[in-house]
Amino acid sequence: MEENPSVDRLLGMHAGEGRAADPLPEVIEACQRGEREAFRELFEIYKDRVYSIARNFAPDETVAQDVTQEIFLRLFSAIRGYRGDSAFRTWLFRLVVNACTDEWRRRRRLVPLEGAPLAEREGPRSIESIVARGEIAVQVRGALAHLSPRLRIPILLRYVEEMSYDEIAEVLRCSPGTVASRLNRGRRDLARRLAHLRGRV
Amino acid sequence: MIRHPGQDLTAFAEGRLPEADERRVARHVSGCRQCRDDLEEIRFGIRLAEAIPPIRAPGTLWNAIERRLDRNAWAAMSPTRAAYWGRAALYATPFVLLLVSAGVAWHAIARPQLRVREATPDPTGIERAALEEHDRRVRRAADWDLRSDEIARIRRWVEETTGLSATIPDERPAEDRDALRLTGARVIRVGSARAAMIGFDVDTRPVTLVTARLSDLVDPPAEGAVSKNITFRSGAPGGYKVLTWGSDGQAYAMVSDLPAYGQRGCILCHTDPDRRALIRSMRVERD
Repeated sequence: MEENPSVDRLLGMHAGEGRAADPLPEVIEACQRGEREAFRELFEIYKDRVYSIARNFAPDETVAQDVTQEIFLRLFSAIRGYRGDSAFRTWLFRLVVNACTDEWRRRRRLVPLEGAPLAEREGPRSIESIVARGEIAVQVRGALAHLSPRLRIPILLRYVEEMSYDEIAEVLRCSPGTVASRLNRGRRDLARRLAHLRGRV
Repeated sequence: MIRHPGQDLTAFAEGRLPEADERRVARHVSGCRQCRDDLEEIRFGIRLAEAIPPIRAPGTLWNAIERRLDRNAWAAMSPTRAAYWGRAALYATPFVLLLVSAGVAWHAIARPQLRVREATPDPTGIERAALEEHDRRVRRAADWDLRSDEIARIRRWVEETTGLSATIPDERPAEDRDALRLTGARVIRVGSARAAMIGFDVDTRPVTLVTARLSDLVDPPAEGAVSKNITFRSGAPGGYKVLTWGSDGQAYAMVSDLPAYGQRGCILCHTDPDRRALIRSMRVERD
């Protein structure tokens, strides 16, 4: 994914800091004052990251957009209460995790119909066509949709949001050991479901 | 007895072990078939997880959020302004109470009634479009662009697809639970105007609502300065009833075979009990 230079500026990023940096305090303070432009800036910084997580909890793009909208509206309303006790990113992703878990609970009964992974709905296909069409990511996302949020969220935070074990533990309010154990179970589950891709990934 | 690395194997695969432990695990793995297989399984899982792609958010997302922020402007207001309005509300309270008392007294003397006009003999474009769409639904030949019973989803879809406002509240009175069910939505044309059709059931009977921008219509319903200028048509083909009105720059036509004037369909957008009572009191004013 391309990084927008102005986003880097807003994040206050220095070389090597990567995705871990928080937005500039001025942006957060302006959001706390209710300034619309600052909201927009914060949205631009996090929109793809939040949407990436939400999309992995939604059966389609429309629902993912709804969930993302909901997250940002909650963020804009809750940001006045942000006191900087934890890193902003950790605080934000706690909102994201809660919203996605709520959505999952709400849709639990619908998942077998709407959330069936693309690969399953399309029926069996040859490994060659999957690899040739660059659809491994689609297959992985399909398998991920079967994982419970307890296993799915740590995987998304680790591999999409590139968080450390400690950061994930802070978001989920659990120990790093628990994070390690859930990641391990999640990855093993993926490996079991996608055993047919062994040697191709 | 051989001591396998256990949890350290995952940390080893991820390169998270201190150097000394890493050497120890590497030595063990090179001589242990079981741990080598286990390590390969872990690495395969990691490679799969690394293949999860980041997904770019759609470009329209901010516009949708901004519209909702505008709707919730009070909640998004800065603390200073909120405090100002809080003080203003405090000073205004006695006047508001006075007005409310006067209103209650007036209500007791002259119960308000919603008066609507009879429609002109020729149906307007939006009425014809709503009748056609409704007829298709009744014949089970409706062609939905979005099939859903979720209010938020339909509202957002209509707003994003057509730019038209669809103010259907999410929070519903308990009485709506068995009475109201949304069916779906569709983009249609009224003449050359782009319009949205929203299908829903009230008391298990189909109701069809069509809305378009007033300025896009050749023969728009009159938009009242204060009221919605509602007109009522009965005796339409199929015996359907049509309510038509203009409000906030949009024209609406609602078709159903619900009792009286079909005004019970208005529960879709009106959840306030007083407003609903007023709508129930609807009477056609005949010239």
